[in-house]
Amino acid sequence: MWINMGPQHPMTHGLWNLRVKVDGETIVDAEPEVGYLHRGIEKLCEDRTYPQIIPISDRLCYGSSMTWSHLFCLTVEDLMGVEVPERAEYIRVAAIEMQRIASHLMWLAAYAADLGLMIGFIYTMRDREVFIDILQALTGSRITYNYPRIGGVAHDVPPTFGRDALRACSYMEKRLREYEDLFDGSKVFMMRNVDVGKLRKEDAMNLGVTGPPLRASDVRYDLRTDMPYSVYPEMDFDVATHPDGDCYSRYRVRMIEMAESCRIIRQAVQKMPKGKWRIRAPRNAPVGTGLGRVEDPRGEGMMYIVGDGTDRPYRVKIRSPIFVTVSAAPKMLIGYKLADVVAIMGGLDMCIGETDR
Amino acid sequence: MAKRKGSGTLGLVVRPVRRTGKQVWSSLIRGKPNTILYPYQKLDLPPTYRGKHTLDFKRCIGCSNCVQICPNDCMWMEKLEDPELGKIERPGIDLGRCLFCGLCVEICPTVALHETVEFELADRDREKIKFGPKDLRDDTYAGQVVEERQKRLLPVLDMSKCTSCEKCAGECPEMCIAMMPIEGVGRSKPEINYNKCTSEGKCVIACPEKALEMKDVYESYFEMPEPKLVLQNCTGCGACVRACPADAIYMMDMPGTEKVLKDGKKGKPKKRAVFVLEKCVGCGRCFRACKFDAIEMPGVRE
Repeated sequence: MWINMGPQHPMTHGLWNLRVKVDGETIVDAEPEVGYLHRGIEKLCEDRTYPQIIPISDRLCYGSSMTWSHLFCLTVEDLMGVEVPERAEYIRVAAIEMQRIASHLMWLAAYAADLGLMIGFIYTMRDREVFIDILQALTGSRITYNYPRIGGVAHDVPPTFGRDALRACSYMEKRLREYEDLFDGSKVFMMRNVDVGKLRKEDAMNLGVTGPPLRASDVRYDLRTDMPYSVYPEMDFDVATHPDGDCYSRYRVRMIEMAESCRIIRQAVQKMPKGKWRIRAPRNAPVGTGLGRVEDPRGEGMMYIVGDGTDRPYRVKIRSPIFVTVSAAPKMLIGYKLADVVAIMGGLDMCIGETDR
Repeated sequence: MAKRKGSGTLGLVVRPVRRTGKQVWSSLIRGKPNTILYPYQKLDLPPTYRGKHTLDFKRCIGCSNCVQICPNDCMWMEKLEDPELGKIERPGIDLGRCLFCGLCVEICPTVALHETVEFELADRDREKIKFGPKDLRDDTYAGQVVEERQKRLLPVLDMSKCTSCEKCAGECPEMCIAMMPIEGVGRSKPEINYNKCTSEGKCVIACPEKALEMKDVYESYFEMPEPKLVLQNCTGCGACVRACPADAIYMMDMPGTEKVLKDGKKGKPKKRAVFVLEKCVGCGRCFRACKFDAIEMPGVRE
């Protein structure tokens, strides 16, 4: 029997449909369907000048808009051959890592609420607010920041930024230990996570899964170290991996990543040099192509822009990590019970905004 | 099963109780509540917050750069009569469609547009959240709350007074003034390289006609298109001069083009437009005003 889970379902976190074929309670086949939230962002970009696309690329993902506008600026800088001032790079790295923590916390909130651990939702949303407040003081907005610019960032950091960031990091590290007690100590959470939704290493690599689900399958692949962009080569951090490949290891990888992000924010704030934070970027892009790849909180994001000599791009291609990762759903689901679907698909951190674009 | 942290009595009873006790102590007894009662209490918003816009009428020059950069096309230019400023054009914003990206504030060449921390703009009527220029007007806001953009003191040329004596170019210690000949006029105009200028003001002192003046120029991070004159098409009508919000265009006589009238006297000479590109804000109004295709400006919307 085929069951439609979605497009309106508490499990989906957005508009997408998961069709599962069940034999009794056991899943024998699965088929994810995406495309309900297609907004035509790639086409919208072709009609706008380069600075005008930055607020649109913010709208790609509500969870981590900073990475996407940063990715767009990175790609256009590659296309135009713009050198970014060093201070801007450090500000960007600090902002992206804060965004990564905020995104992972929002995932954890939704995941805990899915698995019936409402206190997890309340706690994580409370701590996300700390980082959102810092980003608000830095950029001027809570969710859609519109902060990176072609050739730097929009404005300098506020005078209290360094102090607030360091405080938030030590606060977060304290909280992470509390979460470990809260989640790992919860019997319900462990029963629904451990040995559920196993994704083998070979399958994960063959299906193009990236980000925390891939690292949870014991593949040490992180674009921040494997293909470093911005000032990540100067940062000292570890790539989190876990050998099991089940839902619990995806949760573990994200928890370790949050702690590593705190380390990166500390280093970025301490190493931040003085100087200019923005340079004047050219208006027109040359004829040619630009490619940018970043490690999104959800996986590998890629943008490919073709410039035709005018102030508008000829083509913008966006590679979404979740669009690829969700294709591994059958491999993860088959053999498990229908009640495990929530835990398995929730563990992928679906964001439909960038999947359907 | 995986390595679970603490099973047994220690893990299932003692640790949760300790954690709960800590939490109760830190949030209920010692700490403040994490939430606020919204309509009665309000959060302190940072001064960089992007909310409702204000417009300084005296700083705004009506160049419509903000209207052109808006990604949502939610701004428009409105013609008004002001008792103090005369006939002017100022932008209005439909805040119901605005996405508060702040690009209009960033591109403003004179820092006339600002964003306040006011965000409670909801209304039952759609027409009431369309803010015309008069609703946005606040001439005292500029420079008070939000830090102004970086500005530099730079010499600004008034071409109508310039006599092409080349004294400013000779005085400049950085050699950043170049005298460029104007085609057809037979004179030259000083072009100042603002990237090299150190704001010493020697050119201003040297100028005998007081054509150069030190003024605050706000730094702009946007590269704007520059107008280019096609001399064959220019009829000297002066439409671009009237359209230019930054007074960057001057009409100059072209000697040697006078028509000989019937009675043997010479008539008026032909005129041409001369651009002072240092003052140009790249809005494209001259391009749109010109009816004879005499101005080329690649990258400007029709």
